[in-house]
Order: sequence, then structure tokens, then C-alpha cells
Amino acid sequence: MVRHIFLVRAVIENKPKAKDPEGETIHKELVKGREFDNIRSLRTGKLLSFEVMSSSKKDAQKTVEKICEENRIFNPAAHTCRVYVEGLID
Amino acid sequence: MTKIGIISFPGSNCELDTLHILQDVLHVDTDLIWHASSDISSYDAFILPGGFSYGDYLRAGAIASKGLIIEKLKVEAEKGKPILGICNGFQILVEAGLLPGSILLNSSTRFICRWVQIRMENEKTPIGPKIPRGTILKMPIAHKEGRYYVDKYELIKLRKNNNIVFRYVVTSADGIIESSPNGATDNIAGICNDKGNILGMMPHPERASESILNHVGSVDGLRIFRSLLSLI
Repeated sequence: MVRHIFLVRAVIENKPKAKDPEGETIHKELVKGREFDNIRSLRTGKLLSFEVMSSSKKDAQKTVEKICEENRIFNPAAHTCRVYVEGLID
Repeated sequence: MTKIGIISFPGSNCELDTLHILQDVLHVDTDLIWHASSDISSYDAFILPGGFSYGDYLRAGAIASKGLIIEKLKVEAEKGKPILGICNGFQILVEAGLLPGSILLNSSTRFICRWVQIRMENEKTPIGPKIPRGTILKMPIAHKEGRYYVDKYELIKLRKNNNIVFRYVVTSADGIIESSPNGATDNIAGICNDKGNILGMMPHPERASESILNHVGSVDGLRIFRSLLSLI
């Protein structure tokens, strides 16, 4: 079976209704009022990058989703976690 | 008459300790300057104290470094006025580009709060004559993002330009050896700019300036402040 290395990302953010003081501070101090008034809001999060050896893109994504759920990489009560495949690594 | 300004930001928390040392121990006229202050040109020297400006959001010191007062501080720095950044103040100076390099998360990823020894490495800096090369100073560190980092090319420049002021050392059976508590490049604890009027350091001299207030009886921090004052 041909195995490739996929770069898979997991983006973890506070749920939309959960306050994000860090994002609010960055927005207020570094963005708003500095010629970027068209930015309505800004949220922070964590980005995890996985290099996954897998035979397919779909399996690579599923593997990371499983890791994130089973190992409590994010807290489902407070966070959202979006997993996506960035692409192949040569 | 000499006047020192201590610039504080939302989240600074060592400004009052620093003020106490300058005012009550060294008897120097000193003001706290809130970051929103409009004019800082009447001060002879500046200190950026430790703490967690803006909650260390984004990166430690990153948001404070973009404040308007830093633009004013750059003007004063150009005039050659001495500036000392302690811990978070050091992080702000690096983020502002007033000092070279970066300050990253400790190698251990943990917050480290303990006493360390630092060695004066460079008497060619303006503060050198007051603290001879090789002098060992005892003072505490308290940081999670304190790992000074430069790549090997930048390190060559720092060495060549005499920017390295303090290195972490420990006393071992083999004598004094270099050893960093946080994984800093070349065990660097403090650096200055090329001109030598801006000094940044991770250890806290204000916490080692009264023997009664620390278990090792260190007043080595006073030497840092006296050196700063000698530049004025």
C-alpha cells in the first residue's frame, strides 16, 4: 500500500459564545483604530500541525479527529475543534 | 536633579517594588509613568518593570511594544538616555526592536521562580566600569517566557558587538560554570544595544536590593540600579 505523509491541522477555538479576552485585547490594542476599522472582531485559538503517514487524505483526517476526541486535545464543553488536511508533504 | 521614570502598562506588577528601591533605598527622584502619558521627555532615564503587560497575550511584551509610549521611548533612547528593561520590560524592549533577538517559552515549558547567579560579561558596556567583568550577582528570576534566543549568525554579531552583558552561571565542584535555567542561547541573561544605553535582563534586581527581604541577603540588584544612575 502506498503511504503518503499528509499535513493535517487542528484548529481549537473557544466556542463562539465563550468570551475570548486574548482575542478582544489583540483586537482593541493592535487592530481597531489602527486603520483597520473594518475588522469587526478577532478570535484567538491554538493550531496543532500533525504529520500523518496514511494511504488516503480521508484516513489522515479521521486519524487526527480521533486523536483530538479521545485524548481530550480540546475541551468539548468550551472549545470547538476543526480538523482539516492542509496537503501532502513531499 | 536626576529624575527616573518607571513606565507601567496594564498588567505590570513590579513597578511599585522598583519605585520603592529607587525612592526609599537609593533616594532618587522617581515617578511612575502610566503608558498613556503624553510627555516623557523630562526624565533622565527609564525603567520598564516586570509583570505581565496585557496578560502576556499574543506573546509576552508584544502588545505593550506597539503602544504610543514606546515610540516616545525610542526618541529618548536616540538621545542616549539609559533604559533598563526587567523581565517583562526586557520582553517589551525586544519586541519593540530596541534590543536584538527574541524571548521564547522556557525549554521546560514551566514557569520558573528561583534564585540564580549571573556573571557580568562585558565591561566595555557603559555599565561595565561599575560592575567589573567576572562579577557574580545573585538575584531571582520569575518567568515562563524567558529563553533568550538568537540564531547562530545573530549570536556571532552579539559577541562581536559586545551586546552580551550577563550570562547565567552556577557554582559547581569544577568552579563557576555557565548554565541556563531556561535554555537561553549561550546562557544569556541580559543584553544591551550597540550603543550600550539600553539594557534588558530577565533577573529581577529590584527583588535583590534589600538584604532583609531575601533569604540569601543579596543586595546585588542595587549595583544594577547604581550602574544605570551612573550613566546619567
